[in-house]
Amino acid sequence: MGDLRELIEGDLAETLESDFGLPVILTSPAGVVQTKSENNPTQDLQAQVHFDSLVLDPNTGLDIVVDKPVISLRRTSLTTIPTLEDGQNWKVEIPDLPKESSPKTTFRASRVPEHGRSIGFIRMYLEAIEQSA
Amino acid sequence: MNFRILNASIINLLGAAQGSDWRTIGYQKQAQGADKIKNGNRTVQVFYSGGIYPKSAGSLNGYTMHDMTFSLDLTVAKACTGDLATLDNPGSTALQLQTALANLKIAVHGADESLNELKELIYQEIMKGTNQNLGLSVPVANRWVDEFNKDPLQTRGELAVLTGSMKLTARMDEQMIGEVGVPLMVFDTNIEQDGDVIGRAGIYQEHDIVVEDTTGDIVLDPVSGNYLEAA
Repeated sequence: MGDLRELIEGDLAETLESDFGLPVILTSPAGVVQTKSENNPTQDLQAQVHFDSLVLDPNTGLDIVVDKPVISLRRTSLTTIPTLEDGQNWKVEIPDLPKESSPKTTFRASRVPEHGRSIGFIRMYLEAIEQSA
Repeated sequence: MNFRILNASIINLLGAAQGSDWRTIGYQKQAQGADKIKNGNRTVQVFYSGGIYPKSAGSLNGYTMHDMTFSLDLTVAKACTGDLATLDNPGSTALQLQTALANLKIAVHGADESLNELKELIYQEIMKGTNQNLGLSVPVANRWVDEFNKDPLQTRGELAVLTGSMKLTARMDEQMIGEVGVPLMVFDTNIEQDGDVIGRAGIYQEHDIVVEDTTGDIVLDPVSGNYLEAA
């Protein structure tokens, strides 16, 4: 039986990347773009992507259908770990559809990502960017 | 009843004034797509939410005063805005990307500003002097926006969605719908007394009668009211 942490890392490679993963692109607040994985520079940076959900507004009782992209990445695959400290803006590009060849749309990471440091993943919540007037 | 008439009038009033600034909905809407209410498609949902009928200001059999309450639910959705052209350009330098990222206006900021603006527009329209009767040609008393509450941001997603609620009150009278009464029957009475030869001793009130005085004829004595044989 191997080291438990190594086993977890292997599981993350399977669940967040590999067949479940979709190619994503991260751009740091400094303008540095990451398209490839730190674990395998020949492979695109991959993440598990979820696209939408139904959210209830408890004050009005209204259901709001929102596109709620959430991505989960393996920390060891990242060059720089996003923290969103001091209001930093990270640009995230994800495919429009759950398909590797799908065109990408640009988003901004909207809140402090959940680290999952014990397990080794990071979760980022995204909001759409539109061209300002 | 007048609360329905006034409800429709408020909807028409806001609908006529919306332009491209908002959309007026005349009922409580269920699930709606956040992207459908983005920017200028933000919504104002108008509906009658309740009322009070003060017993001291009404009648058990006639009209009664109705203190109406209308809810105006405001909903906005905004995305983060920025220099997308630079961000999406594969040829942008690191410095250009850094500048564009630093100048992004986040979605919650835009949503907060949008809701404040919408609230101001609706309030001004409802409360301006020419709308004292809220679009009706009959008087509406005590038109007043009592309060406005902005809800905490609950949704986190691609778009920031923010809601608020405005309470509008007004007073009008409500008439009861009743049955039309049955018309009374009118009885024409004439009482005839025994010995009354010509049946004149009834309830009729007549003016003085001038009868030609002819001997042997029966004449009316204006003093006694009796008929006497003329001398």
